[in-house]
Amino acid sequence: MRHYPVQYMPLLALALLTLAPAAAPASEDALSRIADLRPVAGWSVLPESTAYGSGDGLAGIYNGGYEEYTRAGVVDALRRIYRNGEEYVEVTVHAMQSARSAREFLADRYRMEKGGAAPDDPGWARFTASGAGSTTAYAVGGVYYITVVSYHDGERGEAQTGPFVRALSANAAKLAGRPE
Amino acid sequence: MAGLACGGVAVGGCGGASDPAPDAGLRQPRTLGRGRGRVWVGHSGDPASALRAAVAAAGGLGFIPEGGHVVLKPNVAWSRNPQQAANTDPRILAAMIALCREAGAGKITVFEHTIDRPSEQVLAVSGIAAAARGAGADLVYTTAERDFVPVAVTRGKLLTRDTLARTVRDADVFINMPKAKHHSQTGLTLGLKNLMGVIFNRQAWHSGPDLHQYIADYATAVPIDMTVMDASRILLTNGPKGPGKTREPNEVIVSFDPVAADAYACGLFGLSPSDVAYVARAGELGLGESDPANIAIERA
Repeated sequence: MRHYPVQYMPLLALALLTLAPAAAPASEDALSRIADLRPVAGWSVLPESTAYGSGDGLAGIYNGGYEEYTRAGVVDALRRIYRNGEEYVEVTVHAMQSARSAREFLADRYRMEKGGAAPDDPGWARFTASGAGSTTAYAVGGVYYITVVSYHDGERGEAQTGPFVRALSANAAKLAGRPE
Repeated sequence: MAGLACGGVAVGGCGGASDPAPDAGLRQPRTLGRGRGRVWVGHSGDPASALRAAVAAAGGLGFIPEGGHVVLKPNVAWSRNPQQAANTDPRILAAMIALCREAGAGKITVFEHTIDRPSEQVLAVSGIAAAARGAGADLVYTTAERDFVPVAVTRGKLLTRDTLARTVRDADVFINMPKAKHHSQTGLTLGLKNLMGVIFNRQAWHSGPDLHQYIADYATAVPIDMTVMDASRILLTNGPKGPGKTREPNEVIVSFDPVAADAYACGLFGLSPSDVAYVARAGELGLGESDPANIAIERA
């Protein structure tokens, strides 16, 4: 290994930081720890339902819609289905380029779903939207953006998505080493 | 996925020297030249009734040979239920199977190549498996490369060859049954784009230079005998997968002209065919009529 004079070390470190990618993929393993095998009692991962993708590989999750996610700053994502008897819930965990891009994407989704500006509250990190036959819970935790989809609307849909989004948000906070 | 994203002009099987020769002998549509620039639109809160009315107005399914094999291709890419409007409504599929049977079809196959996995869950949640099997059709779904064959695309501007599901190639009749819905990359998913479900490697098109041209080019190679488009409930936002906002036009669109069907459907979203480039380009290739001014709409 080549040795550099101590006085050049800060410059070298700066150069290495400049060369480093802005946001490396969080890795399938990290995302799997957020969407873990049994985040909610009674629910388990449906075999063969897990899909992971980064960059253009997000097409494996969103098909042609993936560019909307990469443009918004999604670096990689993991999608899986949880099953409880004949009930299903779909979870997708996205690692974003930054906590800011995660919050901006959440706000964008809020505008799409609710038709108005997102709450102007630094602590705002979740919302739920329910339409015909569908409920989606949206959340951010640090650089992670999480969606949970139930195939029911109204109270039943919220009863399914609520425990998942709380559990996954807690897992994301644990991964980031900070309180939820 | 075993497929390769090659880019360029021969994306499905990459066109390498070791690939089998593409099948240049695909049949012509049985309905070729019939009803160019005409669409029949059934309107009802009951989508099966809307379908029957539109098919009857179009003159029925007399083009199905007695005892022939009919393949139906709904859009069932996603693990979504019918209310979420990301897939073809199973009630329309079941009614279409019944109509094909009444018209003399000997065998009816519903084919899909799902994106979400596992396919069994997608086909269950969407209601498509129950609809197909309940109506007596075979359900064929695959993600295996061996189930797709190379085909030549001789009329394309960019695409020269790709793949086609063997089930579709071997059919006597092929009826495309898309869902009309929003798509964040192409604007809309309609009938021509639904053909991405009969190729093996979708990813190659998405990462290629011109998705719209690929879609238009490929449609010239596939013998589409009829388009039956589900616009009973349409997805307006967050497509192609949703969930998103939906609206209920309560329409089923039938046409022998795959371009005219798509061109008409653009209007349901407040768009014109020029806003959805693959529709306009398919018109330029001579596949059908894309100019709304030249499309005759008959409501049933």
